[in-house]
Amino acid sequence: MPKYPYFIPEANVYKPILPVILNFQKTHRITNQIPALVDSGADVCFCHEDIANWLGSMDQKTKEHKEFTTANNEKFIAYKENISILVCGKQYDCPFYISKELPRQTPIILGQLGFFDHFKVIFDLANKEIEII
Amino acid sequence: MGAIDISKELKKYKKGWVAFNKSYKIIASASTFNEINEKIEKYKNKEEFLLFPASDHYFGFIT
Repeated sequence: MPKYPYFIPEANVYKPILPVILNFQKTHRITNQIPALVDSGADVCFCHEDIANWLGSMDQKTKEHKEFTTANNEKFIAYKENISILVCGKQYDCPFYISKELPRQTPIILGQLGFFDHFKVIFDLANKEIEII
Repeated sequence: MGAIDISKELKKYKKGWVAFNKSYKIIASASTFNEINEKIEKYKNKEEFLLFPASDHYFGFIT
């Protein structure tokens, strides 16, 4: 079973982060590896607007916009963009919601739709690893 | 397996983006995502790099 290590960006802070590569087929731009937080509490996947802009995605009124609510009950709007993702050796088109409101520490968030519907995930903090099936 | 501890490397950077090589050593830093991509252009093995957001804190997030 493929296992991936947790990251420690600060003393005593353990993050279930997977390196991912995003590929925007409309512009053929491909990112380097960037960290994506595996977040079972997120309904969908998110991408920070800075990365989406670099890929060539533009916020257009024709795109689907949705309102989201953060843990502290603040609202923000994000627009949907399909971006190809390479994660855990698998590449597929993922519906990302693009927003500039994401914390800059977590520019990519992998949530239920777009990630957990593709993989079975076991968080094993005791062993500092994430098992992805 | 053990976690990847990048805390000591990241401690020197409070904002912007950094680029880690395969050994998790920082080889470049920049204020924006665009700039870090420009900075790593010169490296032949740039596709191995992990671009990571720098911050003065990573603790305290609830999602």
